[in-house]
Amino acid sequence: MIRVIVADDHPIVRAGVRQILERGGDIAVVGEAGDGAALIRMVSTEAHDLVLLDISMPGRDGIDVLKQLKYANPRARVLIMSIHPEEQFAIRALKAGADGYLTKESVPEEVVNAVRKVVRGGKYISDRVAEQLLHEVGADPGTLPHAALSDREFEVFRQIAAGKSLTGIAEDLSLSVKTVGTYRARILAKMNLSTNAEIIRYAIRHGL
Amino acid sequence: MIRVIIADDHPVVIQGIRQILSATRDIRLADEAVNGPQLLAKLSGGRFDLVLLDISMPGENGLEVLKRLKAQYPNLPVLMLSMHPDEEYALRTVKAGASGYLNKASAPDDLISAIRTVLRGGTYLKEGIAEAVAGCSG
Repeated sequence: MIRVIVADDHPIVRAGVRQILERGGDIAVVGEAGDGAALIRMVSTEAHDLVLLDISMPGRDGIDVLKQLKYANPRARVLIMSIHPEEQFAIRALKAGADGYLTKESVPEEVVNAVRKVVRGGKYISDRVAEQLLHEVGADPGTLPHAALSDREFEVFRQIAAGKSLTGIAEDLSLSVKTVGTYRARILAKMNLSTNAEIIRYAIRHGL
Repeated sequence: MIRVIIADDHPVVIQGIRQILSATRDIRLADEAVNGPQLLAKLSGGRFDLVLLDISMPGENGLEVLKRLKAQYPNLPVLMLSMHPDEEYALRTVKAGASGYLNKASAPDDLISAIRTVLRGGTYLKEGIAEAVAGCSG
């Protein structure tokens, strides 16, 4: 039986994850934590094979919690589950030692497969994150970062550079704010930037 | 039996709601949708007592879906679900016809209370948000 601790500040999500994992018959949720501090206490008292960790809980940043888990026990298996569509978080999490990264948009089978794979010693990333990693590896250093943006991403990039809010951009392009947020995350990841201020600086420097 | 339909693009949230509701004797998650158009299609083909609607779905967002839904089914109560504790979102949804606003960080008991309150014809808002809404409307 695979023993899992689920750390997420949303009880509804914890209940959902528990139901999805336990339906398979070979996975049991042995503990639930609502924040990083509770998780850190729980991992030292509750025997487990894997921690399913929400990256954005109140209090301590999920990446910090992940680093502490890995520092305390380098062999600990940690699978990140995030509400953020921003693939940027996946790269950060994997670099910080995560054994896998799922978004909450993942279908139940994907969650179960990810847990099984990580417990066997493997790594799990979604196709979308894999594509992004390949993009990072394959990026031509001779090309300016904004050349890698799609037309739509470049449009969003220029609007952010002009100081527009995500809501304003969404209205202009007839997109949802969430979709614009996803474009922004892709832009930041592709261009290796982390804030809107960096986007603005980049645009000014390159006359965009 | 109270029949609830949910629209949310996160399968883990749908499963969580399903499990929480299954612990009651009289409320069931009768159907589910992953976006607004699917929800509206399912509403036209079935009988439901309440809609749980995620505010931030891909494509048409929850607020837009809420407006369309209320135009077609003005008497069908809608309880909004959100990852945002933000008062601004709550205010917008109530103005658009929602009967309540529930943060996904709420306890399972709050979800059940919210559903029962809304089905009795009430409005469900957490204290801080209710005050903000009252402040804006007054």
